[in-house]
Parts: sequence; structure tokens; C-alpha cells
Amino acid sequence: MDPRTHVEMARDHVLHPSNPDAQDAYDFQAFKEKFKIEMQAIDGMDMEFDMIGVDAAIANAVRRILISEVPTMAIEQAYIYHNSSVLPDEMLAHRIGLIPLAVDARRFRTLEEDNNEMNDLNTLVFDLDVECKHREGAKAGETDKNKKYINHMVMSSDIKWQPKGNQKDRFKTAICPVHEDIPIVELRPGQRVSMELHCSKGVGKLHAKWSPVATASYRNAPHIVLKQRVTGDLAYRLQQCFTDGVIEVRDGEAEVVNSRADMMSREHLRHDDLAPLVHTTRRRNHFIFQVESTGALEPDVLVCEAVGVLKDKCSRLLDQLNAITGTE
Amino acid sequence: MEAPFERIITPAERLKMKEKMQIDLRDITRAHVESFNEFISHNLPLAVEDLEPVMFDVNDQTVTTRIVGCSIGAPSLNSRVVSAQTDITPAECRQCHVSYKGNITLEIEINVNGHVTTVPRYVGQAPIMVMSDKCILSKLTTAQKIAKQEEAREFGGYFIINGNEKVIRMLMMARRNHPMALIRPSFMNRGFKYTEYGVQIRCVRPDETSQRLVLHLIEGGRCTLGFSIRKRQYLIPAILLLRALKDVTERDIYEAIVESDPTDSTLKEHVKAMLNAAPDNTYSQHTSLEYLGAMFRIELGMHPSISNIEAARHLLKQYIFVHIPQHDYTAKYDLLIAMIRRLYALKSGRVRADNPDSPMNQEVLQAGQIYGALLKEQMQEYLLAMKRFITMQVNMGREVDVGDQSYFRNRVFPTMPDIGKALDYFLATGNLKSTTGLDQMQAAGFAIVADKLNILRYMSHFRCVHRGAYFAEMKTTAVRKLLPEAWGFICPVHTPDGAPCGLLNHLTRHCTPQSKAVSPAVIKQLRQVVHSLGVQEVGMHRIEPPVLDVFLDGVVVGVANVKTIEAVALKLREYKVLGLHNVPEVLEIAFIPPAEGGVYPGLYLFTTPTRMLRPVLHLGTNKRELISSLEQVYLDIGVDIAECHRNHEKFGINYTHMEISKHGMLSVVSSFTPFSDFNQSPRNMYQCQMGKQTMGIPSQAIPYRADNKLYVLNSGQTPVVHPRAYNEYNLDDYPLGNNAVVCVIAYTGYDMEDAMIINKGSIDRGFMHARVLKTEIVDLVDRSGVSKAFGLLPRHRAENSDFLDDDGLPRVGIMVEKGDPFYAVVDEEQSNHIHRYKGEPARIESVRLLLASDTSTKREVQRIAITVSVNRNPIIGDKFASRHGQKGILSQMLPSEDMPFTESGITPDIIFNPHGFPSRMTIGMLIESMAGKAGCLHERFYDSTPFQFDEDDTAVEFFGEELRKAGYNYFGHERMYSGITGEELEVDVFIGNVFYQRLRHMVSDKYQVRATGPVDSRTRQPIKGRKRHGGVRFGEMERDALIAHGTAFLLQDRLLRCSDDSEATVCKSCGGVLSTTSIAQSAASRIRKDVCLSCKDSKVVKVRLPYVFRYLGAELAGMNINMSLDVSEI
Amino acid sequence: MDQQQDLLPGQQVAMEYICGSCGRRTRIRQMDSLACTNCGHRILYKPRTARPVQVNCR
Repeated sequence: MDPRTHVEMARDHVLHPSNPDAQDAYDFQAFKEKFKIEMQAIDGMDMEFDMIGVDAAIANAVRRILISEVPTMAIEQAYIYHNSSVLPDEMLAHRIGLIPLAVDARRFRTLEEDNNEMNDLNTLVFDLDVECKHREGAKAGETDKNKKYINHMVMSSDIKWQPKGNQKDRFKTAICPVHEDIPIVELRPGQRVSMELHCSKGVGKLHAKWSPVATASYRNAPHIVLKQRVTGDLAYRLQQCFTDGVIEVRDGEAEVVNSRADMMSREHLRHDDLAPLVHTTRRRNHFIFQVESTGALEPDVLVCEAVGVLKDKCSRLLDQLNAITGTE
Repeated sequence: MEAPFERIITPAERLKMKEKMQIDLRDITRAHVESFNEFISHNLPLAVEDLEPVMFDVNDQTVTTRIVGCSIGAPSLNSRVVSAQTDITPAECRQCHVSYKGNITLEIEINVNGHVTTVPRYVGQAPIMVMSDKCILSKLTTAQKIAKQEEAREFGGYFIINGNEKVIRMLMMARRNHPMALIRPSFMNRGFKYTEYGVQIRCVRPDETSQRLVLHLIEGGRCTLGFSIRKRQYLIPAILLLRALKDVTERDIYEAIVESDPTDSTLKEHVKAMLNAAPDNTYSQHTSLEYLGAMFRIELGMHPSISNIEAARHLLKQYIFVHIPQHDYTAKYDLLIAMIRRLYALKSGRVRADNPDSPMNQEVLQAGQIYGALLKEQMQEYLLAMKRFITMQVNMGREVDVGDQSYFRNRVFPTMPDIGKALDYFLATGNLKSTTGLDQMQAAGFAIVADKLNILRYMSHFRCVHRGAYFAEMKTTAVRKLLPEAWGFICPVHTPDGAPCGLLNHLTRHCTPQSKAVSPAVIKQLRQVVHSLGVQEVGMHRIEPPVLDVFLDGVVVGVANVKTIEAVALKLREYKVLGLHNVPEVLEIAFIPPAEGGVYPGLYLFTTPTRMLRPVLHLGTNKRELISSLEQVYLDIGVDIAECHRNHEKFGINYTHMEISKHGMLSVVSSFTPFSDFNQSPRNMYQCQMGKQTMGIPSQAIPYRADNKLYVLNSGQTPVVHPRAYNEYNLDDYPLGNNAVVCVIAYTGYDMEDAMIINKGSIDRGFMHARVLKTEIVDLVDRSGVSKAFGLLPRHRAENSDFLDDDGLPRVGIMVEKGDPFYAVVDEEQSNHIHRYKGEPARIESVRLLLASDTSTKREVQRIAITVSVNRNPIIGDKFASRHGQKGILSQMLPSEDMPFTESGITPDIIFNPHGFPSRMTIGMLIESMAGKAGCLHERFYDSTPFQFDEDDTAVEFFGEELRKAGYNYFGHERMYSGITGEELEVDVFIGNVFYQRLRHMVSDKYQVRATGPVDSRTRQPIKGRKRHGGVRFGEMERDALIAHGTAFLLQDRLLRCSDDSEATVCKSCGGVLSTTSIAQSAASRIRKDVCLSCKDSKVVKVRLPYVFRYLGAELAGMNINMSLDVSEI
Repeated sequence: MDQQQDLLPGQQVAMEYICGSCGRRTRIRQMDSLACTNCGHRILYKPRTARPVQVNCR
């Protein structure tokens, strides 16, 4: 296998993870020809796609930006009126801050852009007011909390949006947390939690609560080739050594059907009789991306946003380079 | 036997298991609580009975005072405060910083010339142990305890003194009533020709007070018995005592001693010498008693009306073999004979000296015993104080009417000492102020604060046993040694490293010191059983030598030959295990077989309290048996069935007993270390230390406590991998850390030298978030009568209203920073003093109005507790540790996008440097990592109790297989990508889940900076100490570094300019620094000039000198040394 | 001058406190005997301030 295109897998290491013969010169035309994105699967929250024909540097830039630089909205300040729950104020506020909100941050400005002055373009306001009470008519020995108490658990659904300014017109549907079943704190009769929450725009770099993704990562595409025919018992054992669906045994013979599914446990290399049968490598410039959104935006939108941020950065760099060359 | 182990535990199974296995936490403090209960119910009446009446003469009247009763009441506020409600709860005491005490009432009998009156008298308040029978919590259910604002599983065992929880530390003592042959060079200093041989016995009265005796050997064969009366040492010839104890002939004594070895001619010579050592005219019991009485009556403070014989009997009762009832002189005689025989045997080399440092010769003194001994002494002192006061009044010519009760009530009692105060002082300081010393070798360090940093630390206070402060200063390390005899009783792992190493030990989980005494009736019955089995009475036997003694609680109950004794021991054990013939289950049956050069043989039976007991399995009957440390040495105890079979076949060992669990030799704290059998042993010791410094949830009643500082981890977790003990003690109630994804890799270089990198994303999401609750008690109660109260006068309200309410107390819930108003006080002059907050930014957690001190009669609000909560989320410089003695400092909070990530996109929470493993060999951490990972993948917990794997069934194989089943690499490795370059890392990375603890050492409490600040007034050098805003010492070695580096200016800057640089005036002619001064040129002029006072001229120059140099000059001058400087212009 | 200026500490405004045992609110003045009027408990808690407290959600 060509070390320029493939990384060789050994039992506890890989051979030449960096391209030994890297072509540093960037050729836009060549890139355009080679670059490819293949969508594998997508739903509202998760997405898997292949990015083919790029260096690790570019794939990594997209990954890093997804995690830390695509802005979202998150609760940043809590004005607490009552908190007689068991959790102290700051812990309660921290928990609430981490709740993802279903709101498109592109429609907001950051506080910095407005000199830290709050207005309806940079701040969302929510209310949270829950008081726990005994449920009337509950049996004496009742153990089911739902029958015994009213509001014994503060949930993310209790966070209510309070539209300010023209927000009501700008957003046709009410803004709410992505999940309505996140428990915040348990209450008991007599305890009350009441606060006003201010939500602002930020990026994951500042705090993880603004990170739009739960996971954004990639892996090099595995490439598994059988060196010879594997049949009988050996074939089944070999199948067991890989992630489900990588090898199938058809008519008693092992066959690689989906090498990209392999998670690289390299179990076969532990067995002396199985190790020589397979050649495991990875494609150097083939990245299988996995993006899992926290729910504010669809994952495909997030990737586009990330590329946008990357583009902005590049043009900023270019501007600065031009500025330097211009002064000379 | 304990339940079989399941390695895999599903969450559902765990819940069921926890319910089934959970141990009563009261087991931890059982020794403390029961010893206190025993003191109240059993020892206290006996102590009162044992008190000596005090006799004295007042104007021809003979007064005898005695205490006939002592009772301790229910916990209450000081009875002098007239209040509707005086009962008090422990929670109230903790919050109000008062003591949890009950009234002591003495029944004092006053006998004036036969006219007897008895008066009850309140003599102060005695601290009461929480959860003892006297405590209001003892009988409460869990729900009731919670209603009383206590821990749901409160286990007590401590006293509350001024709001602090105080524990009386258990102390290792010499085994009571057991003669020990000792070789001690210090014995030679007792007198002329004294040898180093001695036999020591620590005799304990039924009321648990003790008296130590040493039988010394003098060259030639004479013996003397040494003991102390009120800390003064006395020596009595043994022969005198023998005669005083029993009317015997010299021949009887001679034969009784020589009997043990009739062939030994030196022995005979020795005995003869001893017999000849009697003082003149003491050849009968009567004359001996007369002699003793005459010698000791002054020392004993005997009233003139008491005869010498009675005085001697008093001496024998109070000081000689006090564990034997006073009238049983024969038993005392027999014991002394036995000790003399032992002494000669030791001298001849036939037997070995006993090791007083070995747990087999030790027992554990508990809270109840020492507390009781102190109270007993205080009661005796009370009577003596009465005598002193009245005789002093008589001597001063005051009017004294002892016949009048009101005289006692109005004049005597009010001046008497407060017994409660003495007890309070003892517990508050741990210092023992005593006239007799209570037979203790130390005077300080008895009580310690049980600080509630976390549950492990708290529990270990009740399990620790100290060897004695006396041994801490000893240069030899013999006392610190871990001896094989300690097996099963004292944990080999759990001892601190450093100064107290080996002296501060911890009891194993299953070891409980006995607290309750066995009733005399049962002991009497036991004695009959022993005789019925073939043991013959002393002096009436017809047995061929060698004859061995049979001791029961330090009394020679009979003799028998080896064969009979062996059979008796077996039979007794059978009775004990099966509970036949009323033989108590706490009976210790130690048969020491004769062996040349071995320990002195015999059968030693013990039922006495404070011996360490632990359960083992008796194989003959398959029943649980409690064994103690002396008998254990002579038993064959197998670890498990496999070992029993193997060693039986290989070596023919017939095991009589088997351990109940393999990990039963560990203490409570060390049994929480997972896979500790895989670690290098010191690492487990370190974990025991670090476990006790971990931040967790220290209490479930945090709002109802007012501890100075309380460290709280905000979101603790259950470790995925935990040993069985974790569930048995249900530590889920008190979590101690977070599960972390740990990858072992050198990344970025910020993880060198035990530093660790934590994912910033993890911290953002709440990893190891914590807070510190600090409580400040403000007490305005002023004994001098100055009246102050909290309050904010109207004129100050507006400017302070952001922080203070009108009551002068801070608003609850607001944030305060250094300098903000904290509370306001109004004094008598109506001026408002606003106290400001010092310290880190914090939130006011609570403000409590407390009842003022219990002695004050004022009732208004004068004492408050303000609790602030300081946020302590992890920052660089904080300390973390895994449970394997692997601690590290957080050196970088790496953004999660920079972290390496795995195939599935996981970024680790913690990066651990691989260099931490090879030299430390904490394989347990590697196993935990694999097990933790497998647990997360399979949604289950894994048991990590030590000794569950062996060479044929290895842990790596088991957990490797579990990982493989989940589709992961067998070895726990994973492919990772660099988060910075995005490329794959060349080598596989070991990554898994490890439970991490956050230690309480945090930079916020430690960082120290200063530019300028306070200086020492004498040297003008910066003072030291962070608290006082001092500097960091720039020491000799630092100085050396700068000199070596050649940085002269920096050196001058550090050592002079930034320190005590000063301008000095030096006289050019005499060179004096001290003799120069500046004076006004004339009375009217404001211009001053420098002159030398000794040379009277003004040739004075200014030089820059370190100020401390001037001090050196002054010190030298004080020693009559003149210091002169040779100065010249440059 | 405001008459209130010369108030004795004992004449100050009564404030409301919460009993540590029964949880009832009790109005007491500084000079009053420190005990819950309902159950006689001797530890009283100051209630949380009515003002909102700003907390950073991090």
C-alpha cells in the first residue's frame, strides 16, 4: 500500500501517521478536482459525512471551529428571586446555563457588538418560577412523588420565554429549550425556585455551553483487505475480531463488506493465525465526519456555518497579509 | 462467611445489594459509645464505691466526708439559667458553639462525730457523648433523627465542646492484669545494684482505673515491687509484701518459688537472698502489716485514729494488685509468687522477655475508661478540697460550724471546684490536669477534633489508635514496627507517613475493642468450669513438675500439667463457641506451650474489657468465634479453604480457624481503595492519606452545622469501579469525587512531573465544581458588661442598604467582596460600627441568630453565625488524585478542541503523564481504568475488592475480555488523533475511566504575593506568613543561586532593597553605628544635624546598611562587644 | 434631626426571622428574648433578601 495515501496499522501503533511525501504546494485546481463530500446519513441531530481529498489540517480546522467558534445562544445570567431548593444559587444557575435552547443564533447580535448594552437584538429573557406543594387528596402513605406533590421536579420545560421588544414578531413560534425533559432540581413542599434568565450569544471557546455540537469529530476511513481466502472456522473468528458488519461470511468464506464501519480494535492482530490474513490500513485523506448537534441548528447547517467561519478567518488573514505587503 | 463475590454488578442489582449489605454505621463508633455507656451504667457506681472517705478534725469534732452517689443528668443548658426550656439538642450545640452537657449531682455524706447527713450537690456539667444512652438521639429512628436536624445515619461517639466535635482518641495500653517479663536498661536506674530485669503488671480495678506495678530484680536475687502514689515512686521489698499478704513460713515461700524448677541451684540462691531481705521485726503477717502501715500512713494521708494495720490494709487495697478484690489476699500472694518466679526465669534466660510493643500484649483504652478515671479523680479531689478549705478556715480562725448544714451550703460548697469545668477542659484541649496522672504516660493529646472534611476522615477519627505521645519522641523505631501479631486487628496499610508513622494506627474493619465487662457471677462460674476440667487449686495440688499456672483475668486460679492444660484449652474453646456452661463469647483462651527460650508458658484466660476482638470462623463447629490478640498467636488460622487444604497436605498444618474475609485485615478507609492488591504498598498508604483530604459531601445536615470551614463538592458521583466496602458503608450518601475519562499520554508538555491537564470543556460542564462554606460566629457577649447589639442606625441605612438590612445583619443571598459592609454593631454610646468583609468574594449563604452563651443571663440577640459560600471551581494549581496514591496538580485547562480525541470522538477529561507509572507501579489504577471503561460501555458497575483475582484468573484477562466484547481493544488502547494537528497519533493511547478525587489543597488558599507590606519591628525585614500578608523567604540556597549566577544587582535588590535597606549614620572617628544620633542644632532651630554622642563630634557619614545590622550591633553591645566600622569617602 | 436618630438598640424595627425548627416566621426585635414564639426554638434564620441576586451561569 502506498504510504502517501494510506496509513499502515500495527498492533499498538501506526506507521508514518504523517505523510512522508507531503505535497505542500497548494494547487486550487487539484484541490477542486479531488475534494468531495459524501453525505452518509443525516437527521435533525446527527450527521455522518465523508470529507475526501483534504489534508488533516483542513478537516481538523472544520472540527475545531464546530466545537468552539460557531455561535449559539445560551443562558448567561440568572436573577434569582427565590431559591429555597437544596442546590445553592451558583450550582442551579450553572445547571440552567447548560440547557441547550432551540434558537437560531444567527438572528442575534453579541453583547460586545452592542457595547454590552442589552436590547432585544442581543438578549432573550426567560422566566422560571416553580413552587412545590402538597397535592391535595393524596393518600397518607403515598410514595409516588407525582401523586404526592405538585411540581416536585423543576424541568427544562418550566423555563418560559418572555418576549421583549419586537421579539414576538420576529419569532413566530415560542423559543424554548431543545429538550423539555431535562431535570433541573428536585423540590419538596414549601420550596420555591423563581428567577429571570438572560440569554446571550457566544461561542464554545468562552464556555462549553455555547458549543453547538455534542460531538464533532472525524476518523480516517479504514481500509481492510484480506490477503488470502479465509474459510471455515477461521472466517467466523475473523468476523468476530471486527466491528459488526465489517466482515461477512458468505458460503463459508469471509468477505470484507464494509470496512468503513470498523472501529479499529485490531483484535485480529492478537491472534497469531489471524494476523497475517488481513491487511489493515486507513485512507490518509478520507475523513469520516460525525457531527451531533445540541439541537439549536441542524448539523448540516452547523458545518456550513463552520466553513463560513473558516472562510472569514482566511479572508481576514489574507487582508492582513495584503496590508503587510501593501506597506512594503 | 461473607457472601460470594459478583464481579459484574448491574445498576439494578446494586440497589438490591446495597440494601442487603449495608452495615450499621454505628459499628464504627461502637467502641466509643459502648465504653461511655458502660462508664455511666457500670463503672461510675463502682468508682463512687471505691472513693476514699476523707477524715479530718475540726475543733475536737471528727468529720468524715464521702461521696455516696453521682448522677449525670440529661443534656441541658446550664441549670443556673432560668429558662422554660433547658433541654438541648446536639444540632443546637453545634450551631450555637456551646457544649452538649448534663448536670452532675453528687450525693455527699457528711459525718460529724457519728451524726450523718447526706446532701445532693450540683457540681457542674459533664459533657455527654452523642448517641450514648444519655444522649437524646440514642433511641431515635432515622426519621426522628432527621427531624432533630441530625445526619440520617448519625453514629455519634464524640462530645460537643463549644460547638466542636471532640473525640477521645483510643490509646494502646499494656494488656491489663497480665504479668509481662521485661528487659529494660532504665530499670537499672531505680537504685543501687538494680538489674535490667523486671516483671510489669498493669492492674485495673473493676471501675476501669488502673495502677501499674513493676517487680524489680536486684543483683543477688532480692526483689522489690515498685509503684507510684500520686506520681511519686515507691519500692517495697517483695518479701515484706508476701508476709503482709499471707501468714506463711519462709519454707512455704521458698517451695512455692522453687517448685517451678527444683534443679536450678542459682534460683535457690536467689530465693534465699530474697527471703533474707526482709526488714527487721517483720517476720509475721501482723508485724509486716504494722511496719508497712507505719511507713506509708503519712503518704496515704491517714487520720490519726486509724491504726497502722488498717493503714497497711488500705495500702494493699488501693495500690497492690488492685484488680483482685481487696480481701482476697491469698490471690494477691499467689500472683506475686507467680511474678517472682517469672522474674527469676527471665534472669536465668529460660524464658524470653515479652515485647510490650506487640499487639499481643496490648489492649485499647477507650473514651469511657479515661473519662471515667478523670471523673473519679475529680470526685476524690472534691472531698480533699472540702477538707483543705475547712481546715484552712479553722487555721485562719474563722468561725466554722461543721454541725450546721447551712455552713456547708453557704460557705463550703460555693467555693468548691467545678467538676464539669475540669472535664470540659480535658475535652476542649486534650490536656490532662491530674494529681495522679491516671496511670497515663502522657499529659496531652487525649482529645482531638473530629473534623468533618469528608466522611473518610471523619470515620477514621473513631478508628484510630494511638500508641501514646510518649513514644513519638523516642529515637528507636522499634515501637513503630508493623508486627505479624497485629494481623487482623490493626491495619497494615492505614498509617500516616512521616512523624506519626506506625504510632497512629487504625483498627481493621472487623476489629472492635470489647467495652462491656463480664459479670462477676459469670466469671465465678467460669472458674468452676476450669476446675471441673482438671485444673487444681494452687498449693493443694499433687502434680509432677513442670507445673503450669492457669490465670483468669490476672488471678492464678489453679495449676495443671501441660497435657491437662492443652485439653482444658480445647474444651473451653468448644464451650465458648457453642455457648455451653455460660462461658462468655468474649473469653480469650491463650495457651502458651512451654518452649525453651520462649514466652513464659501457661494458660491465660481473659474476659476483661478493652481487649481487641475480631471474628473468625471456628472450623470445628463452623461457627463464628471472637478471638483476641494474645490467643491469635497460638492459633492456626487459614485465609481461605484452598489454603487450609493446601497447607494441610503440604506441611501437615491442622487449621483450627479460618478468616471471615480475605480483606478483613484492612481498615475502613483502606478497604475503599480499588484493586489495592495490584498496587505497590506505599501507594495504598498514600491513598489512605489522600482519601482523607478529599472534597466530598461531608454531611447531609450542612445547613444545621456551623463548622469553621466546610468543603463541599457540588456534584459527586458513584465510582463505576468500587469495592464491596463502598456499598457496605453506602458511601453514595457521601460522594467523594467524579468519574473521569483519563488518557495516559504525554501531550503539550504541561503534564510533566505529576502535573495533569484537564479538559476545559469538562470543567465548564461541572467537573469537580466545589465550594467552601465558611462560618463566622460573631459574639457580642461581653463579660465586662458593656452592652452592644446588632443594628444599623437610620443615619447609616442608605449608604449600606445594598448589603445590610436594618437589623445590622447582611442580606442573605447577596454577593460580598473584600471591604463590603458585613454586619453592624451599635454600642452603648449609640455609635454604629460597621464591620467589613475580609476574604474572597462569596455569597451570603445564611445568617443565623443564636442563643447567646449559656452562662449569660442576657437574652437579647448578641450572637450570630454568618455562613458564606465561596466558589471553588477548579483552577490551575488545584490538586487532584486518583484512588491509587497518584496525586497531581492541574497545570493547564486545555480547550476541548485541543484535546486529543478517539475514533468515536471522545475527548478525555484528564491527561495523565505515562511517566507516573513505571516507578510507582500502581497497576491498580491501570486495572481500574480498564474496568471503568468496560463498566461505562456495558452500563454496569464492577467490584474492585482486593484479592478477587489470582495468577490463574487474572484481572487483565477478565477486563480485557469485557472490553473486547464491547468491540474495543483488548488492552484498553485506542487510536487517537491530535486535536491540534488533526493527524493520528503514532502510538496507541491507553484510555479508560478512573475515579478522581479533588483534594482540599487549593491555590486560592495558598497563593502568596506582596510588593510591600508589614515588616518586623526589630529587624525591619518583611514578616513571614500568608495570613499576615508576609513575604516569601528568599533563603540561603536561593542566595547561592544568584551568587553562582553572578547577578549582583538582583542579589542586592532581593536581599537589601526589597528587605531591610536603611540609611545609617556612622561616626568616622569611632566607627560606631549606635552612638550616632541626630540632634537639633539649637533649641529654636528646626535644622538637625548628625553627631556622635561618644566622640562628641560631628564627623558622621551616612551609609546604607541593612537595618538588622544595627540590631546585631545592639546585641553585641549587650554582650560588651564594640562594633566599629571603618568608613571612608569613595 | 430625625427622631429615629437616637433610638436605643432595643427600640429598633422588628424584623422577620424563620424558626430553625418549626419553620414559622417570627417577628422579633433586637431586645426580645431570642426564641421562636411558636415552638421556643433558639436558632432563628434570617430569610433570603427580597432583592434579586445576579448569578453568572458558568
